[in-house]
Amino acid sequence: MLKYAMRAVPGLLVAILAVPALWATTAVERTETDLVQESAIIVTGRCTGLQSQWIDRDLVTVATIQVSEVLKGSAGPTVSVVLPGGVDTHRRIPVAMSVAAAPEIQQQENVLLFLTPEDRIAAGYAVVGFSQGKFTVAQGPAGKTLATQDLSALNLQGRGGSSRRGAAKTILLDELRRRIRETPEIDRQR
Amino acid sequence: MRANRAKFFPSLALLAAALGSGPVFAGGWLETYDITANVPSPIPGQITARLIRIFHDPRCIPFQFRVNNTLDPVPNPLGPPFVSLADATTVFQKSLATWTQIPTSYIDMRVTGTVANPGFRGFDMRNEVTFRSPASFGAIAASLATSLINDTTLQDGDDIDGDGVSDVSSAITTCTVDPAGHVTFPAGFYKAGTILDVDVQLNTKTSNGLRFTVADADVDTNTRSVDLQATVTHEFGHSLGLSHVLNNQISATKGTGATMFPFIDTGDPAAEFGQRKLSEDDIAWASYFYPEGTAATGPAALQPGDIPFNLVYGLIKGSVTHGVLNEPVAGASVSATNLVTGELFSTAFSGTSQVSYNPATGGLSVISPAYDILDGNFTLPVKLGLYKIGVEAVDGLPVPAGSISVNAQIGAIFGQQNFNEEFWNPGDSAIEVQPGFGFPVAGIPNFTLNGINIVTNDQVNVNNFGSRDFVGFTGSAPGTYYAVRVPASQISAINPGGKLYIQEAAYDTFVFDASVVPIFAEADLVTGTVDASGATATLDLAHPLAKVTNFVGQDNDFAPFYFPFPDLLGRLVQQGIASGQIQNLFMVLRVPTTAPYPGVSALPPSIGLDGGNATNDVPLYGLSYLSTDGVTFNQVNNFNFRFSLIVTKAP
Repeated sequence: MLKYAMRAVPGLLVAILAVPALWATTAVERTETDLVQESAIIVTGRCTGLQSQWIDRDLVTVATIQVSEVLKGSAGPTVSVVLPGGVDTHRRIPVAMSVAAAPEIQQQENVLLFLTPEDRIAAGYAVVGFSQGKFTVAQGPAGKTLATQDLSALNLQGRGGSSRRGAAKTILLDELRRRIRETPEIDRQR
Repeated sequence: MRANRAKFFPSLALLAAALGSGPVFAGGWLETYDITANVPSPIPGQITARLIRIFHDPRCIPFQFRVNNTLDPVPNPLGPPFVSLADATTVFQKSLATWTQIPTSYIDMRVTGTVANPGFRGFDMRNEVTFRSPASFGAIAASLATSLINDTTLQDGDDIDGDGVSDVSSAITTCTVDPAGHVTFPAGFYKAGTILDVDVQLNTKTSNGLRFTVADADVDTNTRSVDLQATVTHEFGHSLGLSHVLNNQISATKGTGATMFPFIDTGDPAAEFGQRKLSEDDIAWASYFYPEGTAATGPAALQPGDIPFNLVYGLIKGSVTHGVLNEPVAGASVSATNLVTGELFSTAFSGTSQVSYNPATGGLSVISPAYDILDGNFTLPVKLGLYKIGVEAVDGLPVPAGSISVNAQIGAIFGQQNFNEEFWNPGDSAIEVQPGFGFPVAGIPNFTLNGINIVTNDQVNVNNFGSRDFVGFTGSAPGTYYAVRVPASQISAINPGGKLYIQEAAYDTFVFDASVVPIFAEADLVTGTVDASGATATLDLAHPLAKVTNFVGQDNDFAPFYFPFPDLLGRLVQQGIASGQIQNLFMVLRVPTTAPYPGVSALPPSIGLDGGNATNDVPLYGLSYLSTDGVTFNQVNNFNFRFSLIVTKAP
């Protein structure tokens, strides 16, 4: 499907996010349009809390996101995002659950999230496309706000971190807003 | 000019960033945490959790899976079901055998029956392969492992999963599985990292699932259809404890990569078939973690057909240090390439890491490089041969750190994953003349070679581009030239009054079919001029400063073209600039001169493009040019081609 979509693109160009490769252990690699259309809500915000918990026999980590902007759908001041995997030491035999290439969110990280309902907890959401629907929001080199999947944008060292090579999967937040506006059947609100 | 060079900024307050989800994987292996030592972390109330690998205890080998039999035939999100569960189970057995039959590894995984679970998989002491997945699961498939995070003595009658039923018996010496699929562990001592439960779930949901095929003839170019064997061979690699790797192109002639590369190109049947077969990298790690012939009894004892690990493999050990930050690097990808065959043999990730664990919430935090990164050590298992040892940052191309490990993410978070790829040489240091030269390193069975200590280079990348927005151009005619101009003023500004080593051009390259190697007709470094407006350029292709034909690009990554004699080239260019003879350098890449292009897509190898949108992260510099005849180069106004000129300030 993605490949045929690419071939139908007028002109000579093919968006990198439309490449045909798929994630083996994570998700089908999606275009931004795919992400937008598959999302019930799209938000930006800051992670203010993390808590491991069990859903039935699945160990997950619930990230609380303080919402700063709703780009699609409707969301309250906070949303709960269920991330696969977690750690539980409150049991006779402490365990952890590992999930390859699952999305991760750092405490206090500013994020852009493409979210789909996670029915297993009340008012919960999961990241669309496993880790593909999670971006870190940071300031770019020209002072513009970027949404990126390059963790060096966090650069907790605060030094020595100017990227030399230019990582993939970085989009301008303004550009993303424009694309969301142009994506059909989008219900937006602030 | 964007001469990206590591800089030191005023120190910011060190933030404690909590890792949101649970353990993932690292260093060639899937990660979990070890809190056995109960050492307080610098954060009050928290303890230190060491990143370690997950693994199967020998007492639980053979490792037994059960297939969920509540969906038969296998659902097909694209149409009527056409694969029976029996056929799918045959594929599972075949994939497991791919790992089990490695003669130098004692890993042994099998399907031994079915389980009737109408719900989703979970931590229930049943190792389940299931076509059921929650509505929110948006992956093709996943392997989920529950493991011990303490060194633990399991006692008779222990209820490990909390279902009220004993999972431990002192009456047995090996794991047993009851008819319902529940595993019972023998009582005794187990190390942190021991796998208690592993499940593989496959996504067949109509909303976002895949059509899984089992017959060769059904493997097609439909990107929502995928070969089941390729998929589960990868997943079972996770199930035995392997992580993802960066290896997606074995050599200049083999475009496929390791089975444990995190992407599968479902639009390329050759790539799908390729992922069914284990690469040397996959085999080496399965053997290293489960080495055959290392015990007198049990699964590691030699059986007919086995080959001792030490008879085949030796080890190459060393460390990676960041040449600018002067810190051990967490999660750099280190590789051994066979100098005779030119094939990438094995890869590893550097570093031993730890994080701070909050018992109250289960949250995990990184604090500082000094706390989180204990060392930059790596180990490469290799067969007899001569190798060059390379190092590469996990920087998003071809895979982001988030798809590799927490260890790699720690390196990324602390700004370490930003160096250019290079090769080890004796006395390796941050300032090198020829980063592309790799000193031969011997792999000798049953021998450990230590001291291959790599220091990443302190270089200047002249990047006249921003982040990648597109790849292209799919419609390029055979023989098309792409060129990027580097004005003399940019070069002169790098090290005023000082010398330069002009070492390489790095081209962001891409190929549409994962089984294909992106090979370009030529790569060049030339001089040239532009007209007053910059709209057209004249390149001296007849007198290149450096040139290589049949340039081998990389699949979704920057591909280096290492120039010979970088010191001489630096002097030549600087003198030329000083005398006015050189006004610009141009990095050139030429599309193959003949078509059709290889691969099922038959598209030309492509380059990374920055721009093409209404707004862009950096200006469109007007330094990119395109030519169809090699004579007239026309300025490209809507893109920056992602070509990087890489130099070092000579001491």
